Amino acid sequence: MTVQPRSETTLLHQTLENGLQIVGQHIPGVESTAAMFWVKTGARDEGPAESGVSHFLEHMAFKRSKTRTYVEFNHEFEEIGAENNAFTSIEMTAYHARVLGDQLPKAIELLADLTQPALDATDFDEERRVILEEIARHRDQPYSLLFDEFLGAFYPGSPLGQPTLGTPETISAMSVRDMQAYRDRRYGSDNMLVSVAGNFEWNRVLEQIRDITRDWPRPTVMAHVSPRSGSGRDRIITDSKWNQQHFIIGTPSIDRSDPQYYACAILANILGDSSGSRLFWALNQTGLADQVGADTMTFADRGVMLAIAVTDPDKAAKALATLREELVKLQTGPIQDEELERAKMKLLTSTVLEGESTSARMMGLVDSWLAYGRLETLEEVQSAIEAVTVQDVKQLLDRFPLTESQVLTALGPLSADELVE
Amino acid sequence: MSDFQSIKLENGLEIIGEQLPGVQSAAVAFFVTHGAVDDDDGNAGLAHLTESTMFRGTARRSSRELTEQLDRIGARYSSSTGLELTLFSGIMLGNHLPEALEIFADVLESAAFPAEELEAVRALQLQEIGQRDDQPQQLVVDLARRRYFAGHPLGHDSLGTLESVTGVARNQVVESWMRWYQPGSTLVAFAGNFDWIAVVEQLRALTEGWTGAGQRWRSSPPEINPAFTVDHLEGAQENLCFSLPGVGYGDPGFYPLALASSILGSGMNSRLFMEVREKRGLAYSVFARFDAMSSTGLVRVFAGTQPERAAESVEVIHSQLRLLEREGVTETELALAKTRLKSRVVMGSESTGNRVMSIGRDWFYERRHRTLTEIRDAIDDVTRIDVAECLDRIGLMENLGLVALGPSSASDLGIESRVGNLAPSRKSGS
Repeated sequence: MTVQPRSETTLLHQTLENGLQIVGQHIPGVESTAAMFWVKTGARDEGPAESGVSHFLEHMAFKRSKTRTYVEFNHEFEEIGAENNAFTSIEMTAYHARVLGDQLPKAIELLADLTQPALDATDFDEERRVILEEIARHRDQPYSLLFDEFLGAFYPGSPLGQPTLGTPETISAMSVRDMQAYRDRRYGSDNMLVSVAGNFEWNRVLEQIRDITRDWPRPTVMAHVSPRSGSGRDRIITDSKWNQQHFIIGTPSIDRSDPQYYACAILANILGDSSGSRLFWALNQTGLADQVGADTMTFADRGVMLAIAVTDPDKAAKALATLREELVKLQTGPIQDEELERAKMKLLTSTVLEGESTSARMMGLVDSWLAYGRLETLEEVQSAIEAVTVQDVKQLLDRFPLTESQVLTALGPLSADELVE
Repeated sequence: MSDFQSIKLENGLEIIGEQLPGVQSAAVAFFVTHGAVDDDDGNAGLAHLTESTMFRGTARRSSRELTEQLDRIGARYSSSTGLELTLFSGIMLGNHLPEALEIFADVLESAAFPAEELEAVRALQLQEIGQRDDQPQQLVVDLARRRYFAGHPLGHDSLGTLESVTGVARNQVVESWMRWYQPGSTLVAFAGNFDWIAVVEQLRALTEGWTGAGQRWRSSPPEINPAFTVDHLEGAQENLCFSLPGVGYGDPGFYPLALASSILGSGMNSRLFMEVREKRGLAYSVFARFDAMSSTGLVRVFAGTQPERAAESVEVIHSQLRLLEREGVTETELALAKTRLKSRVVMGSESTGNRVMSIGRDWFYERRHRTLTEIRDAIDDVTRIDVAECLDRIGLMENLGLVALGPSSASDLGIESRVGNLAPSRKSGS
């Protein structure tokens, strides 16, 4: 390999007395710092009637805290020139900001305040309308809709399969009391993590966060709920309003802490990278599907490998058959050394770019902390990528075959019959 | 602070570069003076079809060889066709630039357009049209521009139509490539970790046999069509996109308008976010964006809202636009918007991929390089008077356009739909 290791700065971490964990890394030569407050809670931690509460709560955070309303939040973030936002996923709720170095203390103060919302009933009713608009928008976008439907099909009966935004029914029925109960259960200081990357003074960050969070409640640590789910079943959604036919085929894969994480990243790259992958040659270069891809979604206790294609309805049956055929070939046929090397090189470039971006590095630190309970340097990541062999990938395929337990989700104008060649 | 350099080779190829300290990556971008504005009426989508077929094989290399050489060095690369420029770009570790330049130069100079590859690319472009049309927000924002500049090349649809893309013949693609891909109208920009002398020498050698002065599309600014139109689309939301006149790159009104647009609709502190989302819960997604071109520009305001509240959204946005025109912006707003914009510029410049685009655009449109300090100063210099003058000059309300795409009718929305310069028929109270 030709990546020149660059001497790296120290990885930083500290657990406060109240259980809150802080991780960080300096990036030399940058003016910006990215900071994020992570709460280890998301759609999977919601009961069926609570579906969407994590995301709704993340919106409510911006409405009012004990000391600020949305007017102050928005104004104060703007005063420091912050690039700030928040997101909610299946296992995470995160509040983040990127600012130029000297504005970091203010950014941390604001982010911390976001995690302590006042949950006012009038705000709740107003923001409910925004959430319903967001759900409506989501349903008008085929990718978002397809993805939700896929998780529902792959993890039936499990909160992992519930849409992160909730449904119009759950959101309409929800009360601010329900939200308060959820928050009390999930937003303890020992269920939170702060990450910073870029240009900052570590001791100052620690002191500030210790100060702010001193009196935060610390309920018993709540692990993610680990629900059973039924076996996945294909889901074909036929609607003539769509021009294009969309597919996802999913198969079980590794969880977040699996030692074969990098072998899996390489496998996904070989299968579906946007340049030079198996699906690229078989589907994209032949004109069958303009959009193709593959990726792994990993959770605390399970994971899924996704292969995606978007195509013209008149090419859909052929495209789907070709996609399945490529999964068989990768599962049972040879993997060339050169193919492996190309995938590695692409992943190595990504690690270098991660090291140059404060926001990417801030995310990366948390990924390894959550996966292994420790931080990895980018050099360690690079060595781990370089060490992967064809044998490792084969072994991973034996553990999680791409050809078994497949779940297909289709969204587009075609019916199940029309998807067969 | 800036390690900026530029040179023009004997064949007219221009090269610029800016070293960034402390990074391992290098970004390169080829700016070709060609775009959807050059498509003739009958061949809408030709520029894009040409660009996407170029990686499908050259005189010396097959599509597979081109792709695999870039993959072997781990390069992230892409190409795209805009209105006025076509881009070929890549990011990689700096020590791999030579292999990447070999491929980019080969593709630009010696693309072969194999017939069967062209058919595959054509099939993909037809799908791209379908995908774009499946995404109402993307569609309405694009449609707003196409309608606002209709009848002018800046109103072209860069993807083309099913008919036009199907009808393009291979020789048209080859001719289009020969006509527009010439060193005299191409700019190569580098940012990050690279050796200036080495890349210049390599490009000189690689492009030795490449000739042609090229040409630049020139046109007077378009006549605009400030119409209100309503299109039916099945869906959960009504997608609203207003169009306002803008200014071009290099125009003295550029930063004043960028700041006004930001105050109106960028981020959570903007007027539209406050009025449409925070106070009334009318939309999840609401924003304003300003896009500059060489001779003109365009500000678009988008909101997605459920049909029963779409009329109120139109009304609220309309009254905000009127307020902006009548009263301009406040000192506080201007100061905050400046902080926002400067912060974005500095933070954006930390990425080699962003920086190469920013120095490339400055050179392409204005033939100059600006350091971060110069950009910050230019932003700081803007006064409320400058903003007011710019808004006055563009004639915001008298040139307002709107495209509504979704389940609602014109009367549902409280507007009249016909070509012409109309205000909403319902009077709005602000």
